[in-house]
Amino acid sequence: MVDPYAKHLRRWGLWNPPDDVVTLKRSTFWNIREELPKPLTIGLLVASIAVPLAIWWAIATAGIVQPEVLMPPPAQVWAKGVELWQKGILPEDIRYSLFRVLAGYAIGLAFALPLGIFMGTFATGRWAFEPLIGLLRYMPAPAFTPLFLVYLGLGEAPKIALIALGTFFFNTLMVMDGVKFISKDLIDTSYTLGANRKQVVAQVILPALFPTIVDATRINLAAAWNLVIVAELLSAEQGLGKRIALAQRFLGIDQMFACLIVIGVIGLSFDLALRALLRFTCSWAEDAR
Amino acid sequence: MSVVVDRVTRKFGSFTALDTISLTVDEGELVCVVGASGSGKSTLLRIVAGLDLPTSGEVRANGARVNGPGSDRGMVFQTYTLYPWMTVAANVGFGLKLKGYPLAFREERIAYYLDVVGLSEFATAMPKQLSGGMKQRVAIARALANQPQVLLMDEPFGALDVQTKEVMQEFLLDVWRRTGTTILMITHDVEEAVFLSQRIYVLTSSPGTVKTEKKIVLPESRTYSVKQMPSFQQQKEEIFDLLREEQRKAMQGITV
Repeated sequence: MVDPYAKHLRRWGLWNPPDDVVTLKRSTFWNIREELPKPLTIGLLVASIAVPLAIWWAIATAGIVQPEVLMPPPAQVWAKGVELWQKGILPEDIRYSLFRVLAGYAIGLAFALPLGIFMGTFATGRWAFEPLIGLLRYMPAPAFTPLFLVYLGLGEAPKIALIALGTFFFNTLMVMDGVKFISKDLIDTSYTLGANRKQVVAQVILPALFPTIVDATRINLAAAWNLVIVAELLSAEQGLGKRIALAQRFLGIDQMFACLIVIGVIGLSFDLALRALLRFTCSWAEDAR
Repeated sequence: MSVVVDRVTRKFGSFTALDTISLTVDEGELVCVVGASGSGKSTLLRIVAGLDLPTSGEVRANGARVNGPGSDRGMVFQTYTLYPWMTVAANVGFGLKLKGYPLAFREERIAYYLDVVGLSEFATAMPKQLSGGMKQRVAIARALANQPQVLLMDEPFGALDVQTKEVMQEFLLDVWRRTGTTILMITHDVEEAVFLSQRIYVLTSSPGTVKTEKKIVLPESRTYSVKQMPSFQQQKEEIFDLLREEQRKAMQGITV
């Protein structure tokens, strides 16, 4: 309701401001999509590792879990990790797992990149492949493991094939989407500068896609790590997954924990390295992280 | 004649965006096309560029029928269309690189056109570091580096703030005088059109046709002070009146 007398009341100094004014309160922790003060950021970062570690340690030493072998304390897991490392078992496992992940991912990307660009750039490509890719990507990659074992035997091939296949679909779709996000005006500009279609793909679309490719790798390498462990659990002589499967036989919980942590640390290192790469090489992008 | 638009009609399904529109741009002329929203003026420019094809009629550039985009018709878009991963210099030289010119030749032309747009000291800067007005100057330099028959501009200053816009208008006149490039520009800003043009085409709204063609009579060397002249104001008002009429018709079309 509008007060018709407000004008006069104001003049006489009798006007009361409305009591339904809504203002945003100041906050430290809950500012939406804004940064925290630096010390707080560091504090949270440290706590996010330290607190779970402390809880783990407390549970393990309090003897809540019985028998105690089921919940080794952090120190014991560390010691086991060091022991495996010094025996040369852990470095070898890491080497095998890492090789499978990288080889599988590289092969998957080598197919996904051209196909994704083809599908994102040309309607011809999209309508020819999207229905099939849409169907295949809902088939869980691990379900293909037995098939690959039959087709490709027991060596490295089936594991690498599984990772290549598992990351191929997501990479294809992410690359395709990346092409769609390139401004149409930028492509039209290229035509008016005299570019033919081949030049547009090679000199405009491909470089514009670079941040997308790095970002897709960051996300899909995590999937690759999942798949290598699945493959190794099923059939392998070496590898971090195999080491975990072996530990099960003699209830080596500390060994399982050590291997799991190593897997996590390697994954995190990749993530941080790729983020650094993105910052370093794609500083031209408006939204470089 | 540099550009001839000959009875061009463009239909999108049952909607007619342009209806038997004809206009010409002479060698070395600066012509603006003004129109209310829905006059299909951007569609017209895209057809001249060859990025869109007419349903009937044709466009001729230097006598040859336009069948697709080409480096003889450079274009500057309203959205900043610099290649973000290239330096300013690489952006300006991109058209020449596409044509396979050697590096030394490219560098010479890049230096010349960066000088024309006054951005020589930003040669190694990335587009991200530039303001909107500077980005458009690079885009203009990039189009000019190809030495096109005609420079097509689709509301190039539409996204700029008023102060920058005024500077850019004087800048464009300066570039036009120095290079003698034929320019066909689309705008909805009547003042801008009168200030820049030698001739103006006023379009009707949906479907777009030429309502009036008007010669602008102003001193040869225009600076910003021209805008204070009574004759400038008068010519501006004339075109405004024509556009107002169209806008009213378009609004009625919406309410009916």
